[in-house]
Amino acid sequence: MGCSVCGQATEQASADLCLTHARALDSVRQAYEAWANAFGSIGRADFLKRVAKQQGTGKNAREIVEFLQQRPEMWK
Amino acid sequence: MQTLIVCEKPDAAARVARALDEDGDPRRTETQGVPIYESRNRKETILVCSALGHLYAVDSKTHTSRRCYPVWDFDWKPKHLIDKKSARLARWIQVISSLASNADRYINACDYDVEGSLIGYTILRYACHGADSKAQRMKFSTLTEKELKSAYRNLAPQLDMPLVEAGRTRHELDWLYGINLSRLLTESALKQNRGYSTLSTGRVQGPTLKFVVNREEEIQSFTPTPFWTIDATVARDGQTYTLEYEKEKILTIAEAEQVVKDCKNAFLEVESADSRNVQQSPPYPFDLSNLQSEAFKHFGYTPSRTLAIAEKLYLEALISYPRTSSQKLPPDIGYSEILHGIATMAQYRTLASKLTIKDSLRPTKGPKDDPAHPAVYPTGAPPRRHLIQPEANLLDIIIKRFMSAFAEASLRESSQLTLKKEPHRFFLRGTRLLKEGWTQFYRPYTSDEFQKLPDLKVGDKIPITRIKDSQKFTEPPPRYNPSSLLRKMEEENIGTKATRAEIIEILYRRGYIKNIRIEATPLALKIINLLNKYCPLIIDPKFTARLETSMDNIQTLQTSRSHVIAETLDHLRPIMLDLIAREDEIGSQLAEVVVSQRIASLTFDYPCSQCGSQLKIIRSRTSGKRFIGCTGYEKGCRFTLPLPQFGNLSITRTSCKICGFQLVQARTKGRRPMTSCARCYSNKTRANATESSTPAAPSTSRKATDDLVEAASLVKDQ
Ligand SMILES: [Zn+2]
Repeated sequence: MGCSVCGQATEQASADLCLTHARALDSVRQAYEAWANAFGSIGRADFLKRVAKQQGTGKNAREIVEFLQQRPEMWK
Repeated sequence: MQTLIVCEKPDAAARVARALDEDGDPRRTETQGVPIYESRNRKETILVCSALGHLYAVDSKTHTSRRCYPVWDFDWKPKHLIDKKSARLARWIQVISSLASNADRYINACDYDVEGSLIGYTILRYACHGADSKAQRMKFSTLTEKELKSAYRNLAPQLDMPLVEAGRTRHELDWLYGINLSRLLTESALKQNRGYSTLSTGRVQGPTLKFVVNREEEIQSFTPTPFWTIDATVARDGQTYTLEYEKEKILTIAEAEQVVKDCKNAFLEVESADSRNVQQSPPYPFDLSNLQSEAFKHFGYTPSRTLAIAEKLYLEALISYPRTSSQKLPPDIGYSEILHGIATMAQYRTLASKLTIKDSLRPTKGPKDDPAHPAVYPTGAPPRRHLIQPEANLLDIIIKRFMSAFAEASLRESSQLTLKKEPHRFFLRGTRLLKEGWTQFYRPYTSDEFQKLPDLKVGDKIPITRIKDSQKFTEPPPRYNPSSLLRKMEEENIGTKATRAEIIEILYRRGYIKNIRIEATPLALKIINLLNKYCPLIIDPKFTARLETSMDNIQTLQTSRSHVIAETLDHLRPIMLDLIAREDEIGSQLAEVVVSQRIASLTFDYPCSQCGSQLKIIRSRTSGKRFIGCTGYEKGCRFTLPLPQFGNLSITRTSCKICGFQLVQARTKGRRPMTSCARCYSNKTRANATESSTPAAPSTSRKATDDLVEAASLVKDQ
């Protein structure tokens, strides 16, 4: 099984994401904490929509954002 | 008695010969296109010849195939036998060799550093029938007549072998790493039968690329987070002052709104007023990397370009040897004479005269040192020809930096007012120059920043005229540019002052990095990830830095060449064997990226204006010329656009401001990258052709169509 985002090989067979996308997922998760704190509260869907619009969002983070929009259960 | 002097470059040979000839007019002859100078004085005839950089290089001792690996045996061979592009060097070796047969004294007068010592050594050893053992060494830092004469009078009795040994080791190690790893990458990808691409990595190249790749990954996985700033102003005597809030970033909207609510229409009370005088010493004299960094900052020149320009100025005896890491100016360079020389140039007369009248001249000095050369300094000689702008710019900053070194410290008053509205604090900062000191010598390369403060004292109250909060987002870490990447290499102690700029150029040429704000390409990400997975030590900057230290230790006789080589082989052998065992796995991953990168690097995002198909860069198989062609060729579209024929071509992400077409960039070594729009260029030449009655340029349209027939098959190949 490859990475759920890009299909590339994953480090461990059980992992859903390649190293690159696992790292991007971490970054998006951490950012969510910061956003929720900054606005008092924010829904995940709203957060993803707004992050997607940001210019500074990196390519891999953007791919994770799209992935999470399609498969919200992957927040874990 | 006949003396043979070997210089590194023809221009240097001409200067050495002129300095050593009694009448300053040596006889110049040419044999097989190789210039030779004959200088005469009462005692002897001196023949001065030159290399063209390295005439010898490392190559495999037994294997002749370029594709064979691993290779562990090596030898020094004439460069023209290794590299087809160096064919003309055969004549140089032949001519030097025949001159050497009649000489009874030999002198190495190549640049005095590791490379120069090695260039001279290999020529004396291999082209001059083992003359290295009896040769003498001429050492100098500028090509002025005075210094050259003095260097000739004070020859070192033998070659500087520790430098030679360090140089040999560096070339041999780089060859071992480069050849083995690069061949493995190239061949493993090639064996997948998906097209050829030269892939390379090396002892310094790998870790350097890793810096860029690491940064790229940080940028690509970056997610912005919000923060707020407070924008507020006060007014006094008709002037508006911008306040600085005590927190640069506020992390919640609630807090930001509270600050605005608390302070709206409020009066701020001056809590304290502080000022202090800051003395700033003159900047250190230039070492090479500092010169490269200033030239990038003020003129936008890449490090390799700055080095190329500086070498030219050195060969014309306008500045001292630029490949130096020293930040010191020793007295024996003759401060006063140089300053008097500078004062003869109209634009520096007033400033230089302020220094020449000083009782004692003591330059500032930096911590960095170089055993062979002082910091970069001007010789004080005015240029004998009209300098083109980049040369003039570089000479100007070098002269001004030199003068600054002798000036006094500058004195600046820096003040701060703290204003409060409990529990909040705001600041107003001001600065003014009290004493110019060195800054007057270094304009326009130093800022004359001046910021006035309102006339307020402790206890005074002043109303806030405007306050609001603004929402912002954090930004990804900045990309490296060629100058900051070079600084990073220096900080991590990888490469040498002489090679770092070239390594960065190689990364561009190989398609691993692109743009001035450096981006790592998918190919670079793949290669670094593969190396990281299979042999992380190869791209570990610490490992490379340790090798650099070993090589420095050869120069100071703390270790030997054979020891360092043996250690390296012990390290590299098992890595190579392991990699070869996984060749197939590595190759299939590489081939995939190579193919996609090749397609991406040749394809424009902007579609063909005639049929809407993709436009591509195509090289004609018959003429070798490249042009933009349409992939709709098979459907009958004959649209083409011309392209620059020289330099390494890349398609940029920037669009032409006039017509919107994607710009292409051509990079040539040592030159400013040329960015141009193929469509505007084509329109312009077409307009010119219709205006003038005689055909200005041969029409390319017919030819381009012919080429496209082959191009169509090329497209299929991909
Ligand atoms: Zn992935």
